[in-house]
Formats: sequence, C-alpha cells, structure tokens
Amino acid sequence: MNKIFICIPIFCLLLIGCSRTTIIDDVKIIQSIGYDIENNEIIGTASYPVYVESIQESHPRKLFTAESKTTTGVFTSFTKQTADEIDMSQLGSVVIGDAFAKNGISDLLVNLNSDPNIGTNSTLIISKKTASELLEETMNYPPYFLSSVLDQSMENGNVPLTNLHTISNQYYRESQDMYIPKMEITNEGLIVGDGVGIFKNDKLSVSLDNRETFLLKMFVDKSVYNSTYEVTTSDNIDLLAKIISNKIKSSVNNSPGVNYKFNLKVYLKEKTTKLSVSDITNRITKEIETSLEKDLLNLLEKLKNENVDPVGIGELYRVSQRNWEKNEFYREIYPNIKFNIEANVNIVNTGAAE
Amino acid sequence: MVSSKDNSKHEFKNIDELFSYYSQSSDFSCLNISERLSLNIAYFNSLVDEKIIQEHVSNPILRNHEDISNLKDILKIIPIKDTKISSDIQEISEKIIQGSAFIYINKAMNMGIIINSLTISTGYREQNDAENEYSVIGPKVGFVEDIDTNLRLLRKSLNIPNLKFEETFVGTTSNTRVVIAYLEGIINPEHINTARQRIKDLDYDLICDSSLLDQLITDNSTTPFPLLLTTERVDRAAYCLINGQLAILCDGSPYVINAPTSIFDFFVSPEDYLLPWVLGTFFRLIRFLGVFFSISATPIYVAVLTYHIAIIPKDMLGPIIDSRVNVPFPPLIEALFLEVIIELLREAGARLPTKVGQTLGIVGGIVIGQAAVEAALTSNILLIIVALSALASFTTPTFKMSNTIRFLRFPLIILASIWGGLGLVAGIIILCTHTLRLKSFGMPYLAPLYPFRYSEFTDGFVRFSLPYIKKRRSIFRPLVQSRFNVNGRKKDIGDDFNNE
Repeated sequence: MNKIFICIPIFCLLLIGCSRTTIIDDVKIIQSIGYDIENNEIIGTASYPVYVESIQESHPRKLFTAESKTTTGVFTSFTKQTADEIDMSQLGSVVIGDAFAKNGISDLLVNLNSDPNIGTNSTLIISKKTASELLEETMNYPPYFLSSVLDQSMENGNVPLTNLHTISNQYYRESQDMYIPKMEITNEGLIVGDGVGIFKNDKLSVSLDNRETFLLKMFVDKSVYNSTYEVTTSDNIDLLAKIISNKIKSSVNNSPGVNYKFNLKVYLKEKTTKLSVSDITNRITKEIETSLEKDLLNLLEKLKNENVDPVGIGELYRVSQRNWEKNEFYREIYPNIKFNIEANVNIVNTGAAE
Repeated sequence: MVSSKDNSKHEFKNIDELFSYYSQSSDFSCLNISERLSLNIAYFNSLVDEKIIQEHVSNPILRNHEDISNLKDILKIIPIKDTKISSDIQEISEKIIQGSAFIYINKAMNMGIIINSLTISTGYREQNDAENEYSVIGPKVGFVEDIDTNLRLLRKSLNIPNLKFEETFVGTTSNTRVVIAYLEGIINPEHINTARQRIKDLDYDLICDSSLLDQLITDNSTTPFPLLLTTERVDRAAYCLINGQLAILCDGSPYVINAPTSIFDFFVSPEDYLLPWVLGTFFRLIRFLGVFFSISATPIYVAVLTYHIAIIPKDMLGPIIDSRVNVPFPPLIEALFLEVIIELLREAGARLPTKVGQTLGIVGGIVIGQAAVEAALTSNILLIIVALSALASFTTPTFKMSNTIRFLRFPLIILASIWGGLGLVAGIIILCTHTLRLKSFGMPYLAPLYPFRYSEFTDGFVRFSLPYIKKRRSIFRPLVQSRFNVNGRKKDIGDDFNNE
C-alpha cells in the first residue's frame, strides 16, 4: 500500500515532462485561413495577429502564404516562416476561393474535422475573388471581422445558419447538399456578403443571389428572426416585411410531391402610412402571401432543375422511407417532385420600430 | 489525573522535604505569622494574591489571637471558600503549585490548612473586542485569557441550569485548566464522552492555547482543514452550545473550541443571523462565491493560458495576450510569483505593528504590484485575479478556514500547470474525496451535503427566516430536535428538557 502511494507521485512527476504546453503568447494564433488553387497547386493563406507592447490598440496582422499539393501541406510551409508554434484552436473562418470550391472541398472538410483543435463553430466562406485577396482586404478590419460579419448576418440578416458543424453534417449525410455563404469585395473595398454557393457533392455548382438566400433561409433555419423580405404590391407600393417568427410544416407523398406550410408573423415597414388598416388586413396580407409562395416555389423549381438539394427534400423522403437510396432518389424521383407551398402571413405590427 | 504519567514529578515524603524542594525557587515564601502559636504560612508569591493573605488570613488570625488553639479554630475564622485541612502530602504539594497558601503549625505534624488565594486575572486582559471575528453589528464581547471570566460570559449568555461545566487539568508540565461546557439534555452524551476520552488520553507537556489542544484532540491531524471550530465570540460559542455541540475552554486562551462541527460552520458569520434573512443569505452566498473564486481563479488562469487557449472568448484574446506578451515566464512561475508576494504581504502585515502594517499594505499592494507589471514580471490580468482571490479568501469569517482556502490554491496551481484542466479536475476530485472522508468528533464533516439532509438546508447555503431554523442539526444526534416551539407546537418525542 505504502509503495503505491510513493510510486504514484513519482510517476506523476516523471510524466510532467510529457505534457505539451501551448502557452498563449508563445503561439501564432491563426484567425482565418484561406485556400486557393492555381495550376494544380494549393495556395494557403493564413492571417494571424502580431501582439506588441502597446495595449488596447489595434494589432497589426500578418499573412502567411504557402504553396503545397495538399491542404495540410501548407502548414509545413507556415512553420518555416515563424519562430512560434502555429495554433489553430481560435480559428474563426476558413475562406475558400471560387476556383478551389469548384475543384472540390472534400479533402479540406475531412482535414478540418480531423483536427480536434478546430472548433466546429468556425465558419466557412466562399470568396468570389481569390481567398488571399479577401484575407488581405481583412487586414484593414478588426480581428475576426469575417466570422463576426457572417455571424451577425446569420442572426439578424438573410444568411442561413452555417458553420463547420452544419456543413460537415450536410457533407456526410446523403440527403442534403451543402451551402456555404459567399463574400466579395466591392469596388470601394468593402467586404460584403453575397448570397450562398450550393455544392453538388463536394463541388460548387450553383450560386444563389441575396434574395434567394433569404428564401433558402426560410426553408432551412429553425428560427428566422429579423430577416427581411421586399414586396411590391399591385398598386406599386414597395413594402418591407420583417419576419418575427416562422413555423414550417412539411409533408411528403409518393405522387411524388412535397407540401410546405409556412406560418409567418411579420412587421410591415416602409410606406405603411399610405395604407389603411383594412388594406393591411385583407389585401396586403394576401399579396405578401402570394408573392412569397411564388418566390419559394420558384426557388425550389430552380434547385430542382439544377439537381441540387440544399433544402433537404431528400431528407424528408429518407425519414419516411425505409429503403431510401440516394442515387435512385436524385436521378428518378427528385426531378419529378411537385411542390405545393402555402404561406400564412400574419401582420402583427406596422410602422413602429422594433 | 495527568500526574501519574509524569516521571519528573516528585514524590514527597513529608512537608519538610516538600518545603526544602520548593524553596529552591526564589518566589517561594515561608513566613511566620504568629510567634506565639508558632503559626507559619507558605506560598508561591508569584501565584498568590498577597492582599488576600493579608486581609483574610493574617489579620483575622492576629485579631483572634487568643481563641486559636489548633488548626480547626483557624478554619472557622478564615472567610475563604475551598479552605480545608489536609494531611495528604501530594494534595498539599499540588495545591501550593496551583496557587494556594498553606498554613501549618509544625512541619513535623505533616498537616495544615490549604487556602485558595490565587491571584485573579492579574496579567490578563480585562476585555476582548473580538477583533479577529469582528462583526459590524451585534455584540463585540469576546473571550479573554482568564477561564473564569469566560465561564461567566458563557453562563450569562445561556442562563439555564443545564449548562454544565466539567473541569480537568491537561498538560504534564503546564497543568492547564480545561473546561468542557455543554447543555445537558440536549447534547448527545456520546460527544461528551469523546471529548473526555480524548482529553484524558492526552500526553503533552505544554498546553498554552486552545488551538494547541484543538490539534491534539482533532480526528485527523494531517488535513489542512480545521476540524474543530475555534472562536473568540461569546455569541458564536453560545449558538454552538444551543445547537447541541460542546465547547472546550482552556485557561489562558481567548479561543473556545467547538465540536463537533461541519464544514458549513466555518462559513457562518454571526452577522448572518443579525441581518434580515434576505441580506444574510445574500452575504452568505457572496462568501461561498468568494471561496470558490479564491480557490479556482488562479489555477483556471494557469490552466487556460498554458493549455486551453481555445476556450478564451475571441474578444478577450487581445487583452490577455497584450498583458502577457512581455512576460518571460510561463504562467506557472508568473502565478506562483504573485501568489507568494501576496502571502508575504499578508504574513508581514500580521507580524508588523498595526500602524506600520497598514502602510506596508498600501506600499506592497500598489507599489510592488504596479512595479511588477511594469517590469514585465507579471501580467495585469493575473495581478487583478490574484488580488481578487486574496480579497475573496478574507471574506471567510473564520481565520483558520481562510488560511486553509489560501493554502489550497497552491497545489491546484501546480496541478493546473502540469496537466491543465485535467489536473485541475484531478485536484478538485482529491479535495472532494478528502473532505468527504473527514470527520469531526466522529461526525461527518461535509454534512448536510453528505450525508444529505434536505431539511437542514434551512441554515446551509441559504439562511432562512429565524422561525424556520427551529431544528437542531440531526447529524449531531441531539437529544432534543427542536430548538423552540413555534405557535405552541407539540413537544418532541424524547424531550426530557423539563424532567430535570
């Protein structure tokens, strides 16, 4: 007994040497990493902050760039460029160049998932220009600008919720296709969100614009709050409907057909003073409903024609059919599905601020 | 009696031998009162109040010179209690050394009168403001060094006949008077037996303070946790007695030992009961928060900065790295350095005279702290954390527990630096297991958390309104469960309170 009590602390002491420390100021904390492809070479770009004595000032950030044949290979080149260890545990966003996305991102996703240091709430972004250009542009902005812009617009804007977790889920599940938000640099040098890119398997195939992105969000997000939808009424009044809550009911049948039923509560904004109360309760509600139904249906038809399924129609079928088979479904059933959409809009408030 | 164990104690055959031995000390006096009666008196003048001898012994004897023919006549005229004739040499020698005067006619008779004339409270403090367990409101009376005063204070605050004092003498050399106080009929006799037994079995030479006694009779002497509650507040000791615990008083010590205890007793301040229960509860919860913060804040800092960068919120990365970027040490050295500085300040503050101590606190706290940050020896954020956790540790109302809490931080810091969060968890598990195994006078230390007693949480983390704290803690097995009747509630079974 006594021997054990002596041995345990001794072994513990010996094991102290085996622990690998990552002391916070002795590592390069990568904030975002970008991938491009050029002549079959993967170009990795990573931004990290440089901390100096000055307290409470914006920190200059720098970029690593490296070329490699593989996505993890770029890190080998990164380590050659720095005196400190590279730490990925605070990774905010992964930027994928347009060309890289079209070339397939399965390797990248597998690698991101296999690194336990990378949090699954880091975001993936497709850059319309190359990833390195986007990252270079973010040098002028505060740290974690890309991921915070995206987080903010997922919460209050029209971008559907995505992060490494949901994207991996969509990647590994057979009944839904991935969608990753897009960003671009405007001519004035601003970084703005610009729709989403939809993947077929692991390759970027379709891009949705901002309006379609909102419609996609209506289908895929559990809570849609503060998202806005613009409607032009029959008498040419432009209205803005701000969504407070959204409840979806969906059902499938084997004809094949899918029914969606939306229950929406909205605020009306813009030019509401020109409308009378009876107008709002009867005509406007009806017009918003029909316009929304038409738009949602158009989106589903467009996705159907492109043979991509970010909405998860396949998932609706998979959960109701025992021997669901991916290839068979997308080849034979999906192109023939008839969609039926019913929107029920309830205008709870007009004009008043939030 | 302890004397049987003591080898250095002399066995005297007769008074002559006794006196020749005692007179080797310069403070032993042997005087002749009356030539005619050849009446002599012997005493240690360091122990005896010579005024008593003068007024109540010599003067009456000289005045009634004629009536005295033998010792019994003297006994009649001396107005002092506990005066008796004895011929037992051992008793005489013991009484003299305990502060009695001895009157004898002839040494050869081996007989004389023992007169208790011990000086009362000379060299002792008159009062104690309970400064170490200070409360802003409520009584500020504390125990003093004189045990008789302490017993009087207890007797005055619990004025019922079943408050019993049981006296023994402890310490082979110091022969210190120790009193076990308890409320008979309420306390479980098991506890009294335990106390009696442990005090009886004690073999130690010098008992100069109750804290020493505390360590000698405690259940586990290798734990950093205090298992017996020592307090200098009269109200606190009285509250413990009411709750069916016993109090051990020790002569020469202003601290009273309360036993058995549970860990919650150490976080209870008398002020909790003096404020409205909402405030009392709030302050108590703040105190528990302080304990938690004090133990874990620095270890968590060390673990996170050494291993778990990922859990730092993104907005805090900048400030934390900024403050650390010039520090050349790993977080462990940085943290230990600051913690040791705080401990040094505390230790120095305790040793220095009050007025200097305050100045040193300011100099140490502000100047050293600021200089250490500017010299890039520590980071700003750690300075704040360490200072806050030191502050938080002082919120614990009992000094012994606050020492323990300050101590516990160090092993946890080292564990956190060795294995990060894993080490921290390991340390906390060891801590929990350890406290779970502890016992105070055989009673579980972690009660009422373990064993779990739901009804006793009326006075646990939350201090309920006073009428709701009507039960004594069942874990201490008191003979009477309820402390008082609310709205003429029926008597408890086994209530022999009135059978006395």
